[in-house]
Amino acid sequence: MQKTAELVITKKILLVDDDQYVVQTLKQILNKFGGYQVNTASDGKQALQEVERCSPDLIILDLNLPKLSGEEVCKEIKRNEKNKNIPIIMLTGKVREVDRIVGRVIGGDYYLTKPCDIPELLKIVQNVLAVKN
Amino acid sequence: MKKDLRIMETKGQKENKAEIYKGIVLVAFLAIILFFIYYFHLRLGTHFFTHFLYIPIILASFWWRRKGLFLTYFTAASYIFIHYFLAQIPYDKNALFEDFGRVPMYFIVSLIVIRLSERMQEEIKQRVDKEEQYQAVIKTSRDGFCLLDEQGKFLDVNDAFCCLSGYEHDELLSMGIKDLKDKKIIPEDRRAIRKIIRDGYGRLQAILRSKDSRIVPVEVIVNSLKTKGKVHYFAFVFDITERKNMEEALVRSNNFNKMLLDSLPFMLDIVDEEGNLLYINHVLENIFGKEVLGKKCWEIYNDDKKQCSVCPLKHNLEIGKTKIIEAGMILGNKTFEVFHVGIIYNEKKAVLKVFIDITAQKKAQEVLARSKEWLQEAVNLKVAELKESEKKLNDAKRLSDIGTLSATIAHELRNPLGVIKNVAYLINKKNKDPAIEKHIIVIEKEIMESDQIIENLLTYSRISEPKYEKIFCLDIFSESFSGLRHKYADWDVRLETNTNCGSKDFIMADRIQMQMLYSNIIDNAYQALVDKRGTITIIEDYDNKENRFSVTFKDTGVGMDESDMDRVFTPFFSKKARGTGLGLALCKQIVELHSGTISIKSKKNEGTEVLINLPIYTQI
Repeated sequence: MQKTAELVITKKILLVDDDQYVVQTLKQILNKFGGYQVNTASDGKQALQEVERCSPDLIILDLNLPKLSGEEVCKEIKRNEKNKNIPIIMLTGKVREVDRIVGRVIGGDYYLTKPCDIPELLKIVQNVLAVKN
Repeated sequence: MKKDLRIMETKGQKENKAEIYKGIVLVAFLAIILFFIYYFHLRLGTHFFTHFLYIPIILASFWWRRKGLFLTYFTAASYIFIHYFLAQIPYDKNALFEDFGRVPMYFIVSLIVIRLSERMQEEIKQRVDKEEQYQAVIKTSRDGFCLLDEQGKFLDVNDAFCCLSGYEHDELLSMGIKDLKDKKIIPEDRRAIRKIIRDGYGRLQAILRSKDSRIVPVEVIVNSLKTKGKVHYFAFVFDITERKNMEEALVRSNNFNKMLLDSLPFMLDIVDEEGNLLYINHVLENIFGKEVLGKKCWEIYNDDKKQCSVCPLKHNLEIGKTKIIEAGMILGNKTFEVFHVGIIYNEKKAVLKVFIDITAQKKAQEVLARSKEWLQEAVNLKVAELKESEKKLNDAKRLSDIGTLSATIAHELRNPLGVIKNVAYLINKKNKDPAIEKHIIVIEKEIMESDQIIENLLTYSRISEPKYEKIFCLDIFSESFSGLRHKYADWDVRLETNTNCGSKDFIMADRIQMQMLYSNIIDNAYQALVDKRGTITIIEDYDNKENRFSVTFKDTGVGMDESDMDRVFTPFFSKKARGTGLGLALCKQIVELHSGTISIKSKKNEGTEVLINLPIYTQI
């Protein structure tokens, strides 16, 4: 029971990035130091499928994605009534001010640039999930 | 000729008459004397009347000369006949001698008288011949001649004078000189006439009006002749129409020449072979006056009073030949083209000189040459500008390429950097060894630095037109330095700011770009310092009147070589071990985008000074 309860509490995070090393390391960090369940996707289409399949509590989204760009993915999620409340942290190499603004406009809750400060990311993730509850 | 014949005829007739009278007189004398002789010889026996026979002998001899001898023969015969045959005088030795001695006496007297008469006749004839010669000369003379009485009436005229006046000989004799005179008498004539009356001779020019109203200018030479208490004037009259015409033509030609010379607008003179001025035209006369005549031409014209080096007078200039020289430094540093023409002037060899002022031409040439140079310079300048622009364009293109490239690279680098960072984090969490932790920290720091480099690269390639807003000057430094504060927290650096900005002084600029500008330069200043210690001074000068905000950044760092100075603003030029070489290039770009200037002064081992001038308000 205890275990079930624990499982329920465990938040699901969808990590979308085309770089497999980024995915691997971040998944490990989030899992180990945040205790989150991490699902991954390596392109935009897959990301949308994952969202549909497991309805994560939080999405960490890279914007440079093959097949479907991060922005498109974000817009798609936000258009969907069921999923539009899922907070999205954008973690990207795009550092321009305009990209930052675009990110916010299309519904990104946070905009972080690579290479990000890990403690900062963990803190943000924690906060976002807390707010959501 | 007819007239002459007639005169001759009358003369002959007259002589014949005289001869008859003479004959009668002689016959009468002879008859009376012979009668007396006969009578008194026979009756009274006196011889007294035989002496009277000398009278007809002398007369006949005088009148008829040799022919008169016949009368002497006749008389002698008559005497002898009377003595011996009529008177029958007895032979008396004394009486015989006395009587017959008279006959030779008759002949002697007759011959003497004949001789005298002949001589007289010869003399008369000579005189007449002479007179005739003179008359013939006068008659046939081509010059007019007239003889006038005191009242000016013509006493005699010659054919030439008739022709001259157009009147007949006889017509003229009934006229006076006044009838021929033209009405306009010039005053000199009156004076001449008075002089002639006073002195008895003289010469004057007059104008005659001929019968057909021709105007004939004449020259008259008058002489007076006193005969029998009367004064006669004889005058030679020369037709001087041709002379007058020639004189007039000469005067006209002279006038034309003078006019030609005087109307020539350039300077003209004539010098002799030694260079002495003989003539100057009105242009030169206006400048120097007549008194320069006779002086050397170069003493008058040349600024240095010396003969021109190329003076054609030095070499004998042939008559009719022209030599052109160009003489500078004349009449106050002017340049003239001088034509030298060899001529004859007043029967001597001389040189006519014509001066043509080519100063303006020369100057124009110089100006043209200068313009050419100027043009060349301008072209060179433009070419340089063009090259500069081309270089800038190339730079811009290069930068643009760099921009695109760096954006891509930066992005691509960020992923691996992120991964490294993540891994470092993971290692650090698992690690218990403090030595490893130290290494991990280094990794993280290096990642941060790499990130900064990427950031700079992207910023540089991305820098665009400033977004102008009001920025308080005092804020610029504090905002810029806040990012650096942590980085250099443990450095022993004295940071001095010296500003005259008030709290409300502001400039119109792009906030982010201003921060970049300040932080880049301050960062450089820190980097230049040796052993993390030194002084950095920031001096701000706010000048509202000049619309200028200038900032000077000084550091006591390493400085740099002279050779590097002109390359510091070039992108990717860096002397630092780790630097993109974009810091100052970025600063320059920002300043230029704000229409400002940036300059750098540096001395090796003493420090560097960066001076920035920005307009407070930029004309957009």
